[in-house]
Amino acid sequence: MKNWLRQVDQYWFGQGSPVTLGVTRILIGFLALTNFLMIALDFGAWFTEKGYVPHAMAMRKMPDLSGTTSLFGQPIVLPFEVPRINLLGYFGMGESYGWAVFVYTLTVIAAFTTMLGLWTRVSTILLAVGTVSIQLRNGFILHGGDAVLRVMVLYLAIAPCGVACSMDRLIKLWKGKIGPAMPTVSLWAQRLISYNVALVYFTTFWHKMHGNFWRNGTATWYPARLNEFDRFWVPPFMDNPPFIYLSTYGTLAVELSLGTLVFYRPLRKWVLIAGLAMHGFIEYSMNIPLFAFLICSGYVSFYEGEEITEFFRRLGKRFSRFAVRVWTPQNRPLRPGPASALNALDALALVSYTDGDAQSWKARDLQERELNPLRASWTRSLGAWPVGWIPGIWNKVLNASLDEPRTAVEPTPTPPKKKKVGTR
Amino acid sequence: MKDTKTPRNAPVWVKVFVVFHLVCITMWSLPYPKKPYMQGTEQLGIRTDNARVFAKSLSETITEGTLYLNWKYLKGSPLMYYPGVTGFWQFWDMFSPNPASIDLYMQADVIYADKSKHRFLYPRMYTLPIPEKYVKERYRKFFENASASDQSYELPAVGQRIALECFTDPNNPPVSIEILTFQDIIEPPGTLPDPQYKSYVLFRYSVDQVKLRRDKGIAP
Repeated sequence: MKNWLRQVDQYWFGQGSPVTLGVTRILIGFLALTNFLMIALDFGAWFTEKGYVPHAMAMRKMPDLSGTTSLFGQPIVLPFEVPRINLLGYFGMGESYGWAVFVYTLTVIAAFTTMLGLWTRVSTILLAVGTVSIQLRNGFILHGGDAVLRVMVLYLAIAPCGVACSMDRLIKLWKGKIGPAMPTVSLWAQRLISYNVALVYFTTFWHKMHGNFWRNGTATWYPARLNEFDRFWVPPFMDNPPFIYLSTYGTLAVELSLGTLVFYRPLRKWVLIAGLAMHGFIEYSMNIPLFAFLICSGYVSFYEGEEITEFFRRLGKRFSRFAVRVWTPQNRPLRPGPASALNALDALALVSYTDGDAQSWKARDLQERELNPLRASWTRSLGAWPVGWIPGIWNKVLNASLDEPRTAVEPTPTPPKKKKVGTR
Repeated sequence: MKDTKTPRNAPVWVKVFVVFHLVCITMWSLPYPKKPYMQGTEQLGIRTDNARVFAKSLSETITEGTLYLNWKYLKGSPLMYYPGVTGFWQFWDMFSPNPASIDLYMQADVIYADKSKHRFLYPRMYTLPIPEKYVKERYRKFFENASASDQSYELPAVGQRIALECFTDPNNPPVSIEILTFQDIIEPPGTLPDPQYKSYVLFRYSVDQVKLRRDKGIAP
């Protein structure tokens, strides 16, 4: 028993690589940004007093929590209703157009900085509070994907998700404040994410078992005929028996597996592939924006950070024919901090930086062909992709990473040490 | 002397928080028990008539009993404040207990002061190009929710918004809106498809002229 408890403790709270949390942050930050930019096109319709949902209607849909609860059958009555965390809910803030625009804009910016991992703690907290507030401001337009997004950004706000794969880390590396070795963190936040993803599937399976259509194998017949969900063309045999029985029971099997077997390591990969296939088909055939991408982003949490790092190393080896050597200008080696930062950006380990002897940067591939050093280095450095394409940025980064020019100075001969003449 | 204590992976308060969090989100996410059990018209219990009945009643007692206890003692307990306040509330009932079997969309008839009538076309996903329907899907979801009988309080606001969108001539404002719903009930497999949409007036709304003019930026 003690041993089992120790194992449970080790699984939930043990130390490990923060890379998984970093990758999850990038994916969720990107999807949050996409989501809010998409909704922003109809901002006036959804979040203003002139729109479809004035503030009073929003509060009626998502009211404060009732002050009446019960504990073991005994009623507890609070003298007030319990408010929610909501920047757009109280003191008339939800009715103010300017305030709504401000909160929304701040949330969009926070999503962007969360994706980058810049000022991560503040960014993730702002994103979480902003997302919850925006969803409370209009609960009529929310679907399952929004619930996934909300829960995931809340986890990011309490997780050490800026320790890896982030601008924060790069800045610290650049300034020499931390070493290149990846620190470890307690993995409880990552475990909470994976538990919650499994909970999504387990409880949705349970909900479905209360429905006749799922039990009799005809459930997938209905959504396939809803014109309003229509997306890309699907072969007719897939929307008819016997395929609908297969897809109905297949969905139940996959969802139950994602809620249970996914924690069993030998089956993990296959269960997650089945989940990707299921969501891939839904995403292809039905118009449910971002849901598949959001929930599948959570799949990353079932892998340890070390496994993800190793995956990228293996991927790098597979793409090793694209490896390049980049030479710095003559007498201008990379400073240690920036060198660590550049290496951290290169997740696939395709770029090796070396002290050069030419007047400017040089790059060559494995066949010794001359390449444009700027393009060769940023396109191969995964971490540089979000900003590397901006004209002039990568050039500035590379040049700023160089040491001061070293002038060739004749080495001054060291004076010979005087021999001590000892007396005996 | 050798220290035999193993270092802690995380502080105790973090462990307590994690356990508390797991209980709260699980409690919130679990489905409600079946109605007869909630209403007390049916009792849980193990029956031993034969092997099949025994197995079914045992499974029902375990699953529904769990849901009943969760509903009775946890869902309504003060634990609900944690997910409710922080934003961790969650209920994963997508396509369940049964997937929707009614295809529906909305249009509206706008009646102006001069008695003329204009058909307002609310964004309908089926008719939109694929990239646009991806961005506009919120309109479908909104109408699905707003047209539900328990959320019909929202319909006057829908009428007022439609009036604002159709208000182009200050001398001839919309005075009345008829929200129309078009429904096609999906028949089960094996029956002949009947793609006829049936329409009816979901809600009639007399436009608030003062708000309309204020929202349009015209002095009332």
